[in-house]
Amino acid sequence: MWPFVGKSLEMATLFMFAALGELLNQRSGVLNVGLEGLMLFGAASSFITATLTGNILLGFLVGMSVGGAVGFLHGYLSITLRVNQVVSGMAIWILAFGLTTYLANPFTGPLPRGVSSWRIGDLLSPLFFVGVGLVFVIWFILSKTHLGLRIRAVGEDPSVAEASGINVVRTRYLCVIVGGVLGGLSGAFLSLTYLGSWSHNPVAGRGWVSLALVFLSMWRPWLLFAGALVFGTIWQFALSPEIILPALGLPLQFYRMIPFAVTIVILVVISTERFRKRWGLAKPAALGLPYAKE
Amino acid sequence: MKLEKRLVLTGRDALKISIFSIIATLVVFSILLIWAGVNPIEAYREIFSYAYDPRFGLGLTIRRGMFLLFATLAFILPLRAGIWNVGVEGQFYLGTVGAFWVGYTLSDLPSETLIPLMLIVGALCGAGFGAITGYLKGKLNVDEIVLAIMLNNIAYWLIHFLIVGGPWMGAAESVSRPLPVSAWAPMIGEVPSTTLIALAISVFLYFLLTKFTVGYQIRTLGSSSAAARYAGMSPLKISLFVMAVGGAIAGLAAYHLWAGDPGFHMIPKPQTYKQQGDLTYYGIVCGLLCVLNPLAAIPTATFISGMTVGSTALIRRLGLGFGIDFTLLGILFLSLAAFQFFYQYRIVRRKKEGEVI
Repeated sequence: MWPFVGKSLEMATLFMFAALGELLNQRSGVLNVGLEGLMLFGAASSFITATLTGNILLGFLVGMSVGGAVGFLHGYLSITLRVNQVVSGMAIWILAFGLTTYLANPFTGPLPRGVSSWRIGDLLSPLFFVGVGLVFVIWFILSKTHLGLRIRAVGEDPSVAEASGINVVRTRYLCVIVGGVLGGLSGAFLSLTYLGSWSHNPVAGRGWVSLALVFLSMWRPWLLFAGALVFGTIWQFALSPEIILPALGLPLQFYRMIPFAVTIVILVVISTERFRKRWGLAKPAALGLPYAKE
Repeated sequence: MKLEKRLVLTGRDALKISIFSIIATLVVFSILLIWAGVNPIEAYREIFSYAYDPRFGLGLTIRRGMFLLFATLAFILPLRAGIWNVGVEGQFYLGTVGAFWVGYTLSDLPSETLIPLMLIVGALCGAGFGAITGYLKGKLNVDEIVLAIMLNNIAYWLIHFLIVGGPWMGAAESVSRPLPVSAWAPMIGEVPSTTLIALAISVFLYFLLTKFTVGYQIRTLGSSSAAARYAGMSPLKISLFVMAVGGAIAGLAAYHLWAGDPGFHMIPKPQTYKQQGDLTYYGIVCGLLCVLNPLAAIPTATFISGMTVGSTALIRRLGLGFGIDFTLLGILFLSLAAFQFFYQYRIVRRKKEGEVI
């Protein structure tokens, strides 16, 4: 039972990092549907680094830097070149899918002996608490600081923000790069800690669920935290249902569908008019729209 | 040289931009090849000579090209109405379920009735699956991208259930039972006759979009959902229609692939059917490359298919790693995204003060 709890919390950590980065992105008005790709880049680069150097910490740093670089690339395309953000995000995802397979396939297998992430009592990675801390930090920045006000203003109405003296481009770049770093961290955490190994396409939809989590959280960090805990547990349950429900005897594949089905149900519920009118007001009004200073 | 805002984007401009993005892709890909220790000129010769040589890849290039054409058309139609159909993978899986269900249960029927039934049921299953996204998008404005990706995953596990330990389990491990011979697609040389269906749908969609009221409604919704509502059109109906038709086209791709390729005639193991499912994402790139024009989709899909078939030759002959074909696609997608900048701006040369060519 305890290993299950530990694993669930680690899965939640994954979702927290990735979704928090995306939340920051979206609060500034930039939609990055390439979150799955960011995680893939982070997972592959950190895994290769850790395998070659034997240094876990260096692996995490490389994963985060690569994530930041890819975030910058998305920023360049969507902020500076003002191309369709969905096209740019999809492109990053497809590129990540191919490039990480190509580069990391020779490294398929577990991390080398002696290279492994440290866990508290062999159960839970301390990064879980870093994740919780980050939720607090992002919430604090967004709702209590001047920087947060700037980010939200840019996401709501960039031309008004610009007129009041905020540098829209710089604020958005800051958010996409930090978002990229967090996406890379999530990927690195997946390959170096949660899995401790590399196999083809290890992210397996978690990036998409993280993206959904941002919508489900209605752009509020603490709801995102709660969502990450719920989805971490559901996903872990789908992977090893026998620990919780030994006797049910349904085919394994049906359990694997659960996280996706639950996501759909919640997406539908929060999209109903009643719900949207009461809770959905935090949605950044300029989300996904390119901004050109005229 | 200076940038100027584009007022209109003509078809010729769009074609030029697509060609430039392909050239840029080949240049960037060359750098990757040199880094991997392969001469790019030799690699490109290898790609194209393998893909278009009737002795080697031509059959596969056309078969896959038509598969991509189905995927591209399934993507194009909804996007004309402003809806991103990234659920082609799942609709293709559901088409697989429908076609194989008919193929197994009605295997006594003669080919003349069995094959059309497989096509129809496959298309209906794909349409139903697509309609879920269409309905929820039109009714509640649910984010269609996340929704469709979730449905894709569910469909993946559904097929997994059917063939791994489920009712369709074959003699070998993790593959389905083979289709009866009467269900195989009639072939024209190395190419299944379903190719004609793909081509016919291209022409049909072209006329639907340009000559019919419903095509006009689709395009109106695509450019402005407010305008569509003011004009009395129902976004829900249009969104249901485009996603159901898109899903039906994706469903047809299933029969084309599994029954039309002598290498299959069954559902292969999960890793392999997932690879084929992943190919449907090429449809997104093809659709954007041909600027959502169903007729231009035919040469585009064939060309992209040649690139993927040829790059599998790179994997075998030049010893390049697994994943190189998707990398090429990714670079193409990224370069296409970057070149979309020129949909809004164009470079003009300044001749004299005030005079612009």
